[in-house]
Amino acid sequence: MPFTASELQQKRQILEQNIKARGELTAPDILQKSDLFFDLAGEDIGRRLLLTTGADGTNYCLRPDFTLPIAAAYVQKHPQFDEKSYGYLGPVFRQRENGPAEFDQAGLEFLAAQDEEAAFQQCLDFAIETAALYGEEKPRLHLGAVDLFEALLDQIDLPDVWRPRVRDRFGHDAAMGRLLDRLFAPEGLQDQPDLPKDFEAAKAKILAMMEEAGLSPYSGRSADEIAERYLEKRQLADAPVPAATVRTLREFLSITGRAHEQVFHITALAQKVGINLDPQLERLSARLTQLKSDAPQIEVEFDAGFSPRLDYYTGHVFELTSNLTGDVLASGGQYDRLLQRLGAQKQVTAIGCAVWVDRLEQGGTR
Amino acid sequence: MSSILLAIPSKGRLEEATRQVFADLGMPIERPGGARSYLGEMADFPEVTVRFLSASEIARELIAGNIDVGVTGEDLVHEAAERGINQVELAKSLGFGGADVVVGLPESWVDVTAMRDLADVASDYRHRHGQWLRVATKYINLTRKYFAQHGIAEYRIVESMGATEAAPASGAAELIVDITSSGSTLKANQLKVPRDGVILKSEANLVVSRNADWPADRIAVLETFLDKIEKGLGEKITEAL
Repeated sequence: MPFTASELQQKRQILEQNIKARGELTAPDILQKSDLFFDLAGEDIGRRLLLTTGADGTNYCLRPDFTLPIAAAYVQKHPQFDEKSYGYLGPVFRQRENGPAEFDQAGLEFLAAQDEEAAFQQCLDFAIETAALYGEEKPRLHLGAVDLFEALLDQIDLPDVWRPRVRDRFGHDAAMGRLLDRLFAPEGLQDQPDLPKDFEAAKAKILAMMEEAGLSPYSGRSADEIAERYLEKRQLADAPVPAATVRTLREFLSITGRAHEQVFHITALAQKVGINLDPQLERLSARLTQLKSDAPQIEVEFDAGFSPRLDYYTGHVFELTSNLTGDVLASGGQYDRLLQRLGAQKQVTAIGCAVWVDRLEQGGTR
Repeated sequence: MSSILLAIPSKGRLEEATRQVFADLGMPIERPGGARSYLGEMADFPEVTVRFLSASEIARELIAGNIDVGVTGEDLVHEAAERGINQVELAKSLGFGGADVVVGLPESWVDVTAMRDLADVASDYRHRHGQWLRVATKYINLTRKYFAQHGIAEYRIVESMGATEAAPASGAAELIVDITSSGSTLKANQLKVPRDGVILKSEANLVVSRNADWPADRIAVLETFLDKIEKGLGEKITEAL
């Protein structure tokens, strides 16, 4: 062990003070209803949960993170969306490759923050400061910008129906690559049943098939949406998405490297394609300038394709990685769609980060 | 004298076919107590104790290491634990009990012919309905793994222990993942399999537990036993354990 027991205890005390300095220390129940997590993140997160069932059939899990329970409790308690800052320190539980695991996380959540740039910077400062507390003086910062990608996607020449599909694959390189391949060279229609090209006629055929199979016309996929997608596939086979669009997306997603240089690359790409990414680029530049003055020792890498694959992320996202082991030490970002997904009536600013305390405590020996 | 424990399916076609295989190999399995008894005998190989269990229990107990060798389906090994397949050694396919774990969709989904279509549909469905696309299945581990391979994240599993093929019509789920040997149940329910929708081609297998206790004397019994089934199989499997 790189740290003695008393060193660890002392560091924990400092860590707790640092958390309290930024937010109200909160500890959601360890036992949570699992629907909260399934509803928000689907099976991908679901498979990581440690589950149990109550006598009445209700499904529970051990909390796999702090963000969701804190945000869900906030939506219940603060219908007026008061500005709140929370901090946490404690165990989370997840299924790992080698079995179930318990580990400690520390973090911050800024909900309904008035000054979102300041809140984000607080998260970065906290992550960097906590890493330094455990001897990680020069971690690398991996930065992404969901807002840049969404702005690009809004403006490029692409049938509307494809925009959400492309968005959903953001953060999953392999799935995105396959989708772009398909847009570039659409598949033929070889094993596609031959239906009329007219929407109403195609829909009538589909309705008849549904009825024969005893499928309700009112639940599940409707005949409308099946007919729409069927005809859309035919159209795509006849008239693929412009090659330039797919090239632009590929080029954008491959932009990665020292952060300041990437801003120039993206600016050039936007000019070439004729789209306006100025507000997002200005925001990114401001972030980089701030980082340079706050933490000049940190090497910042910008990766245009980097994002958690969760569709409630909306702004900048980051990961802090050890330059000793390459492990992720902290991660965070802006997720303004989260509270809405949890039942809020409107979009509410939400920014947070989580630090992997166990990894830091094990030091360079892990 | 050291012995090993062999578990074989306790009823139905799987039991018959398994006993036939061992009879053909010159090692017939007797069930002295009749169909209600769970103990069997292999007169020609007394070092093998035979137990009759359900095929899914065999999969579970092999993974736990409570039985040494068993006859069960590969699909059941996958389903008993997410990484169950790594806890066992598939020694030999037995040539019966063949069935495919497949993705089944309503035939009326004329726009879906491949898994990549399903990825679009899952994504569209969430945006359009504000709900996850639901997949009814008892094959939770296989489904999660296969869907993840195809980059599909926007769905939820509805656990289904029987009559899974009826889930789309009953409104319990939009599609299913189920096992089928002839495809006739799917057809009768107007369900189709996308062209890359076969998740696993399963067959009854002779399976050896990695987690069982394997001291040298028991390894020797296992090796002799497997060699009687197929020459050279004993060394191959005991080395892999």
